[in-house]
Amino acid sequence: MRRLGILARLYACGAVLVGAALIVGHGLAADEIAFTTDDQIYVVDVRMRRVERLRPPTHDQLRGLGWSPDGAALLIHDYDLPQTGDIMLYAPYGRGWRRLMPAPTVVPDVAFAADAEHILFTDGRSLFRAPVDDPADWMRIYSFNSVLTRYLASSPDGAVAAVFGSSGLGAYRVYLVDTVSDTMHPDLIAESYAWSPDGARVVYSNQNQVYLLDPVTRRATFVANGHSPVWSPDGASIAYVSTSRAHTLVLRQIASGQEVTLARTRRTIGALAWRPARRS
Amino acid sequence: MNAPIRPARRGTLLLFVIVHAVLITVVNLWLFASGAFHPLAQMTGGLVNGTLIVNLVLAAILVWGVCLKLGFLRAYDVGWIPHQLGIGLMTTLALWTVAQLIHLAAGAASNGSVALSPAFAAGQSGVAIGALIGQIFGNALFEELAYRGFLFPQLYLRLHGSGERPWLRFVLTLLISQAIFALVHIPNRLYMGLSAGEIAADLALLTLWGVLFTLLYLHTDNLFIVVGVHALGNAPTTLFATAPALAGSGSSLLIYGLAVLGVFAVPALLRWWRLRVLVEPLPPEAWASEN
Repeated sequence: MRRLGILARLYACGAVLVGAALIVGHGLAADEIAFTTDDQIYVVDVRMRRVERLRPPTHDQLRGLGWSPDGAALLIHDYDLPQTGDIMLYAPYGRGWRRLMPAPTVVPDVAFAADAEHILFTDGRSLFRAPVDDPADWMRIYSFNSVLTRYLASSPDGAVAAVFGSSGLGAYRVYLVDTVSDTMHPDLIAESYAWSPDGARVVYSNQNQVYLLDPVTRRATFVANGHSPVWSPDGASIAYVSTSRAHTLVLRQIASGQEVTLARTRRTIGALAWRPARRS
Repeated sequence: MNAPIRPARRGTLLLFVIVHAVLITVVNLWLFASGAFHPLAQMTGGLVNGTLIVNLVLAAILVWGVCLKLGFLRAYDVGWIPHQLGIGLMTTLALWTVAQLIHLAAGAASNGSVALSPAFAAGQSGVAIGALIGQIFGNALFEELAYRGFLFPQLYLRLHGSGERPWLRFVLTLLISQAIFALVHIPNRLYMGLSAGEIAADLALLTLWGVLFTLLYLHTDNLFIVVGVHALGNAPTTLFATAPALAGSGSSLLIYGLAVLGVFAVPALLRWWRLRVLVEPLPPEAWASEN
């Protein structure tokens, strides 16, 4: 009986420790990819392929998804039509969130600038930049007269943001904006666009096909059937949403072409964002 | 980038569980019961014991033979990632050091003086250190490779259909894998002479510790840290005479408590502190007025 009593006390202490670990230790480790499905945010642990549903402080529709460069927080835009919603900073592992600013419209996209101190967003016609610490101090950095801006991506050197506008024919074209000189020139037709971490390569998707682009030679190589590709932090792999297998997130090693299914969902996967650095 | 863990060849999970169950029964109810390792332990002053020998053999047969060779897995797939060893060792050393400082303070407060623990004071340091060696290079290393490194992720990969409830797949994998971890301890508990009720209670406790070790592994992504925590939990190797509450199983609880504090609670507090200074929200009317 005495031994049983000791075991019972140990069990109670162990339960408290496991409970504490579950409560404050929420989250995954190492390489993580966040993705959205309508109003949900999930994170998949690349190594374990374990999927976890996060608890964003909203049940509205979600658009845009980007990790802060330190990997601590996700930038999201939540909206509930006809309300335009808010641009929010959500720290999934700290259980914290901040409403940065009300969205000017149903903001087509939001992204962190490469300097980590600013966010980029559009209102459909213009590209804006706002300091994270003081979003009220936003500024318009480029206006697009004839195109409807839709998606955003920031290059690693921070000098260029890519904005995609509807051509009016259902296709999207990439526009490269030099945020230093405030100049813009149209680039290829694509639905999504992502620079590799070293800026030397680009992966993009067009009409549900993923391509690898050498920005210097302008040579595009077909990679796979899918969309929304993103780079791994080391630039060795990409993750994309497969269109060959419904609602499937696939990881592909660039050098070997080897593919692994990371996650399957029941709903359409929207945005992807690979966490840039290990969580502290 | 961390590459995804490969799934083992079909049948490996079942083979692993069956072979381990058979081997562990033979080891406990025959080798340990007959005192087969006592001469070796006596000859080495307790530094080399049965726990070390048996678990090295189990690791060779089950981890290397069954998981890696028959299961077509890489060492990486079971958590053996050599470049993580340094952090694992340093974390283990830090954990042990903090525990000793607490024992030192608790002992001084409780006894009025600082003294060596009974094991070290009585010249039994070889046995105490041997117990720790047996855990670090034997029992804890094997069990972590087998049950946290191999069984948990492989079972998770086999359980499909998480759908809208990925947590269900996670919880099921966690409970099944760690229940198996607990169940294979039955021969050892029979060898130790526990009654049926005590074994049942002990299995529940082992499942709980298995869950804690898995959470530590998932959170740190470093199996060597978990090996260190597990080894110190089983063999706390307390250097100083401590307060009664921290003696015996209390010293193991202290290790686990410090591990949870260091791995989960302190980083969570730091994250909270960092997020605390995030920007204040812009008032809803601000955009309309400024735009």
